[in-house]
Amino acid sequence: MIDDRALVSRIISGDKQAFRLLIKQNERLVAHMVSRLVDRNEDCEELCQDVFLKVYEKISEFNFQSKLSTWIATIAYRMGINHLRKKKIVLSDIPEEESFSAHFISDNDPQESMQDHELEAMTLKLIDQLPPHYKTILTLYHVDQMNYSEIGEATGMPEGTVKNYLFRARNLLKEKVKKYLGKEQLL
Amino acid sequence: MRDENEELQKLFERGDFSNEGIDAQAFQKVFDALKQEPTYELPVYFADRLVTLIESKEKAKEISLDRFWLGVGLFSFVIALIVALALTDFKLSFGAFRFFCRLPGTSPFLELLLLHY
Repeated sequence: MIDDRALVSRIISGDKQAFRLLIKQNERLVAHMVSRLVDRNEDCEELCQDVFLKVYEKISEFNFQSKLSTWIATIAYRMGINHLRKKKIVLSDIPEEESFSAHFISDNDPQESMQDHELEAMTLKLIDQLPPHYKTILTLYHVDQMNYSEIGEATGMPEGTVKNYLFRARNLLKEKVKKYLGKEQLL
Repeated sequence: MRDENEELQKLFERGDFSNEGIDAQAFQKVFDALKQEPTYELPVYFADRLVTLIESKEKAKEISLDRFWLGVGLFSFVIALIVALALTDFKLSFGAFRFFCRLPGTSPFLELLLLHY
């Protein structure tokens, strides 16, 4: 596998096949991030395209202070957030602990509202209901195997905030799943 | 309770956990779900299409740059011509061709030539 420095220098010298390789290596990561921030598939594809066009335009400014994938993730995150702002979608700040649950996920009885779904599907649905910041951080950590520092770099958040978001989001999901499991065990 | 949950999460992150207790079971379900990739995927031709788009954009940019330099060249030529005319005090003259005007029959000949075309 070609290393970041060689790949970047080939792209700067105008090698389109090298850029094609860069897209192939990072399209999964960008698609994950964008799809966590944007709902419509058409918007996702358009935004992914814009992200890679920006990467191509700015590649000569990449200074190898981080991994190339982290730098690309930073661009994807910023463009995703800008897209949400343009669409006037409210981005949550870190909410207070008490209001956290009520703010994002309604406290309906899971047994009633999702009785036809499997527990896994219900959990996935709960993840999908989380605010964009939380979903993105969870995906980067659990699916794309990024560490706290890389996620912090990509999202512009301090490492402590990243950890806090992760713990709180997983805790909230656990409480919801626990309610369902409790009911299941009673039956 | 908060510390307990944090500890449990840390155990799950390390893969060092037991399935005892409802909290642990719930976390197990959550961690399993979180590992699943989002369903959205880019089309297989995405990279090819993007490279083609970049190539066509660069070509269009190159053409417009060529046109710009052609315009600059023509403009510079006109300016240089004007400056040269001004500096050399140039006056338009037909010079030796004025001789034809004095020849008899030149006018009808020129008229015939014009009619021919």
